[in-house]
This record gives sequence, C-alpha cells and structure tokens, in this order.
Amino acid sequence: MNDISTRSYESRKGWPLAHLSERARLALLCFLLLVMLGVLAFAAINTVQAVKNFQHQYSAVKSQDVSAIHPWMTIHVVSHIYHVPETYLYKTLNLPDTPATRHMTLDTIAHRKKQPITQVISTLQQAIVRYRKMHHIPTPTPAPGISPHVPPQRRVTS
Amino acid sequence: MNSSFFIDTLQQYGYLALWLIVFIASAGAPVSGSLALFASGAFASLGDFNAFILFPTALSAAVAGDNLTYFIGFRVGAPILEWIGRQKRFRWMNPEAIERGRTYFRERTGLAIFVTRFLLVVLGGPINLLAGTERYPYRKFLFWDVCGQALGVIIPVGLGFIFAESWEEVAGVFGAFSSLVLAALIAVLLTFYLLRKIHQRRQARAKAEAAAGKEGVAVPDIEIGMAAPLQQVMRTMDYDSGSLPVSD
Repeated sequence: MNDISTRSYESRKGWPLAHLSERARLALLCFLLLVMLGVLAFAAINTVQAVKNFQHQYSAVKSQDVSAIHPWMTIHVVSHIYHVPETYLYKTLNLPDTPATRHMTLDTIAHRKKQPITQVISTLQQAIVRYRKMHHIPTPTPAPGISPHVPPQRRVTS
Repeated sequence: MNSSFFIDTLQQYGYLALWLIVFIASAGAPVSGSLALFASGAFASLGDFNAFILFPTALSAAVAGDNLTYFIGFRVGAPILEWIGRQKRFRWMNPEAIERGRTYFRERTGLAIFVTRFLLVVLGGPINLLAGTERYPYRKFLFWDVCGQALGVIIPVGLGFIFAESWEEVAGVFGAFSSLVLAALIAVLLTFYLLRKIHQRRQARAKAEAAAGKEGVAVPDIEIGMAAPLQQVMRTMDYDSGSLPVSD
C-alpha cells in the first residue's frame, strides 16, 4: 500500500495537473460539472423543442394540411398523403410521368426547373386545394402555425 | 452533406445507396447513418422500399462498418498507443489514468459495444477502435455488435415506418434525446467523481488530524511546510490523489 501510494505520487510529478492543489482540482471539477449541467439544460430544451416540432408536423399531416409538404417528398409521396392523382400533380408541374421523375424529390425537381423550392411547394399546394374544390372534397382544418417552407404571402390556406 | 443529398441518393440508387451510407457511417465517418435509416423506413412505408429487404441490407452494412473499424484498431491501435506513451508532447496524459481507463473499458466492453449501437451512436466508431486496440475477442465483439445493431436498425427504420410523413421530425427528436442522454450520463459521472473526491479528501484530512493529534503536531493549513510525521502518515494511508490535503 505504501509503495503504491508513493509510486502514484511520484509518477504524477511530470504531468501538468500535478502541480495543482487538491482544492484547485476540486474547483476545476466543479467548473466542469457546471458546464456539463449547462449543456444538459441546453439538450433538454432542444429535446422539448424537437418534440413540439414533431407534434406540430404530425398534426398537420394527420389533418392533411397542405403546409406539411416538405422538400424531401416525391410526387408519389405527396399524392399518397393528400389523395391526389400523381398524373394530376405531374401535369401541374409540367413534368413527364416516368420512372426517373417518380424518384425525384421536390428539392431535385426545383433544382432541375431552376426554381426556388418554395415556389414548387406553393404550386403543389395550390394544385391540391384546386383539386379538392373541383371534386368537392371537404377541406381539412389546417394545423396552427405557418410552414417554414412557404412564404406567408404565397401560402395557401386549404 | 445535408439530408437532401441522402434522400436524393436513396431515391435514385435504392438499397445500394443505403448500404454504402450506413457502412460509411458505421465505419466512423461523420455521416448520419440513422438519418438514412429513418428516411428509408419512411420510404418503405410509402411504398418505395421493401421493409424485409431493408432490414438485412442495413444490418449487414452497419456490422461491416463496425468490423472495419474494429480491425483497424486491432492492427494499428496498440502500436499507436505505445507511440503516444513514448512521446513527450503527450505527457499531459497521465499514464496511470490511461491504464485505469483501459482496465475500466476492458471490464465493460460488451456493454459499451451494445449501448453505442443504438443509443449513444456518436461513440460507436471510437468504441470499435478501442475494442480492436484492446484485442477484445472477435466473437464476443461480433455478438454484441449484431445484437446492438439489430436494435440500432429496427428503432430508426421502425420509427420512420410508423411516422413516415414526419420522419424528419422524429429523427430530430431521436437525435436530441440521444444528446440529452449523453449529457446526463457525463453529468452523473462527473457528480459521482466529484463526490468521491470530496469524500476521499475528508477521510484523508480526518486521518491526518488524528495522526497529528497523537504526535502532538498541528495539521498544516496548506501543502507547504508539512511536518515530517504528517508526511509519514500521508505515505502510509490509501490516498491516491497525488497531492496533500488542505483544510477549508
């Protein structure tokens, strides 16, 4: 026991923290703990925010609110969620209905058409609302809040 | 590399793209493999992927990536650690602390491998490297890796499948929760370490005071000017802090 404790002390002489007193080391540890508690609080706030964000998006999708259209979606996905024929959506965007375009996300479509993604989404939102009106489909209640993907002046309320 | 790139690649090249993304992510590259898994789960729900092909594809990619980093650690990890030990510029790394860390890791390698496959995913790559460096038995590594990765694939793919239209937000919740768990874990460990240090310090001071009382020597207030009997006491007790106690 004696040898170990002496050896432990001797072996630490070389490293920079060895010259710190025990009190200074405890203070350093307290500081690290405080920083970590700050990070923990930040992570907790971030998690709550993420949950709220999810609840908002989930309720928007469930209520078939057109503001829930995202750039990652393909025409097939939009058609599946909003119960609008794919051919109608392709026609709206002036795209051919081919296997290649079927796997294109709205982001890629916007890139190919050299248009902002918000414009492509807005065109689809208007098309969906128009389709619902044409076929007398009751328009669902939109989810509260404004979609980050759609500029307010162009936003279509279904 | 943003999520849009992943989604486009997944949509264009299907399972091959998924395999490569998950493999690269598991091999320790800063690529979000779980994002690709959430997205592919969502696409499976929306009819673009087959869930029964998706699972073995993703699992094999994840296990292959982990194996690659394990073997890198196995081949070059130990020589690098020895080299670090010889370098003067790394003297700030206390060799005893490193040795304690290695012993601690050896005792809990299986658990570390398992948990970092699905919860603390960000630590997966380093854990594979360490397991290889420490020559952790390969069969055990493979067992814990496959068990952990099965969960690591099922959770994101399953959540993506269930919340298909909101997979991005679910991935956000999952990522935030994972960070929260990691931060909580570090905070708890720091708290335990701090409490242990305080306890050791009190014990050491009490012993020193008792010994000094017997000898009739006053306990010095700070480290300098320590009396010879007290130095003797410090050497005989089980005290590994590396410096002498001070009073408040």
